[in-house]
Amino acid sequence: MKITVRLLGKLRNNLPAEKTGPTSARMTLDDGATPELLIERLGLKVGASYLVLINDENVPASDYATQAIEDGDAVTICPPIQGG
Amino acid sequence: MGMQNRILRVDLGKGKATIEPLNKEWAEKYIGSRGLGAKYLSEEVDPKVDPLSPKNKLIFAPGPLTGTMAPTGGRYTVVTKGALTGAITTSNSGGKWGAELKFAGYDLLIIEGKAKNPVYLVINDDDVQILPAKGLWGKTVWQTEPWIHERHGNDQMKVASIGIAGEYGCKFACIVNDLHRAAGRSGVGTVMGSKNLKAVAVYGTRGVPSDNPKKFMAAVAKAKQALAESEDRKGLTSNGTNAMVSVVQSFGSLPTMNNRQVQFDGASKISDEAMMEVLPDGHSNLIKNAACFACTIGCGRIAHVHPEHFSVKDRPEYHIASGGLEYETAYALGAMVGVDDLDAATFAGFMANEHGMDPISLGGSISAAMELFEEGIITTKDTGGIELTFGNAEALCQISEMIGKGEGFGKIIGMGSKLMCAKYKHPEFSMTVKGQEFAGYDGRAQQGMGLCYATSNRGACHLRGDTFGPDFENTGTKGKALAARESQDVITAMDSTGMCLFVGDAGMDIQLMVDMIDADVEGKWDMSRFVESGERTWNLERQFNLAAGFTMADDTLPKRILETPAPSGTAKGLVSGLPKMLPEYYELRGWSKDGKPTNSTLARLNL
Repeated sequence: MKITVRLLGKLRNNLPAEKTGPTSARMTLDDGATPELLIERLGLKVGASYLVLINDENVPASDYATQAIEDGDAVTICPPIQGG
Repeated sequence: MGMQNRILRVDLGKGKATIEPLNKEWAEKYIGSRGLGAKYLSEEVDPKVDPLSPKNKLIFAPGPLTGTMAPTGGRYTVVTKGALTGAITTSNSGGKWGAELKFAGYDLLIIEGKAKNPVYLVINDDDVQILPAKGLWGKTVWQTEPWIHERHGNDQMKVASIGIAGEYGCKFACIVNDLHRAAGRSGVGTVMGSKNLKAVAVYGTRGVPSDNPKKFMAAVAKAKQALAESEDRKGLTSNGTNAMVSVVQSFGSLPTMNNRQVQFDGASKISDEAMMEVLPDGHSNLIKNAACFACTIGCGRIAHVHPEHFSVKDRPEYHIASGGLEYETAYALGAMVGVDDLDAATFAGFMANEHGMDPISLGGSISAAMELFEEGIITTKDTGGIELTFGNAEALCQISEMIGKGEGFGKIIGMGSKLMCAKYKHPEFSMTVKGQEFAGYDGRAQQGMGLCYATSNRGACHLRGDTFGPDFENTGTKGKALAARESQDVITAMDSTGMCLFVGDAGMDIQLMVDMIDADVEGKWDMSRFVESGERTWNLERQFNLAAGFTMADDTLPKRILETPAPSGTAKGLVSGLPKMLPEYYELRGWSKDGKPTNSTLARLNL
């Protein structure tokens, strides 16, 4: 299945090759992929604190391993950085 | 060691400067900077004093690591009773000034009394002069530093000063050092202006001793390596803190139009990416990054406004490179006022630096005025013809300058949103806690941050507690009280060292900071003693505020955040769960049900 992934803040350095913008890219994932799997696939630190949205809906950390990502979804991942 | 073991006390009323020994017993308990400054203030100032009275004191406090080779070891804290809040305020700044005060041989500078006429202070090691500010009073921050350099023939002097805002009594006036770094919050600049003190110029030639130099340098090397290798640090270097805009926009916690909204359609136009975008004519808002003394992160931004932009088009004096948007400035002078014009927000930020104003309270006060205007409570008759509507970039630029200079309606907004909204009988439009305007996170979406705002000792503040991780993980209240309490103690200890809070965000283990303190100052320091020191300072600050007249009723949030559901984003439909979190927070703190430290808590902390 194909999704759009958006990585914000410093995470944008982990964007996959097929970029559609400075913070977004297209990705192909196996069916049944979850946020946890996606985080691993992107080379991000598993278990770290992130903000994950699927189609602008927040995914609580407790659901990272079980929430299904579906074909055509837009997944946003950002770090909980602090601004000054 | 790490300390100079000397403080400089300047009585402006008597025109006298004395050097005295540092109270080492206090330093052992409170470390330095924020903690030590808070201890001196609580011992020497009646909490009930009027902040603008000569009896208030203004303390400039670097820490033991300030002026050393510790990465980011350049911070100092201004401690006083805040003019904006009437609470104890500990306002932190970077740049180079704090290190220079250590080089001159001082752990603290305590300003007392009030000069009969405006003065400025010049410190060259042990030589301290209180000089008439004739020709200086009335100058902007940006004019003050070169004036002093030329007058004293030393362009290496570091200058901390107020601008016109501090002179006329803008309630959120700040103290600016090194042209665009600031002790920003709570009106510390207003207090300085009330003492008729324009500037403190300092130049030092001493070194900063260390208790165990070899051990210290080994700890420094580890800390520098951790920062150099960290991906988090690289992100802060390249993008600055304004990378936060797109994060909070996605989450739905970006205070917009006076917290009416929690997401801003124009967010991408005031983001870090927008700052880096190169226009067809080759101009980009961002020029480069900037670092404070000893900092290996360099999150600061240097920017310029496009010369054709309306704000600077016919004003060549503003075709300059100066402090660019940080996250809080982008929020306060962008989303909060509904303005998606990057250059307008940048220009308004220039006004904050040039005239010496806290940009967070500047934006929060303008946004309150905008709401009063849009509701028809004030009109162009009050504003002198300015259409003070959300999103009006021209109005933002014009009114920011007027507030800085104390002109027309600008002087009214300069009262701060709490007093201004009370004046027009609509206190509900002031997004403040204890009189201080919100930072760039909405407490309905970030529940823990709402609790941090409500319980911060200096009024609404995003730098007193760190609940970002738990808040982004879930929009509920569970676990937030513990996260707030624990992070508040750690942050307080970090603020007391002279290093920058951002080392944590930049991926450095805080244990390395403790290791540097252990090597640098006398005695054995470990994480437990370090955090306990932070807790001690937190409770000391709380005691000061209680004695000043604050009660648990002040640990609250505006009605909008408590009662009006967030209109969009991940927390759509939610209000702040503060009533649920606050009792748990008090209990975790070892306080009574009405928010007072219990006798056993005070005894445990030797208070």
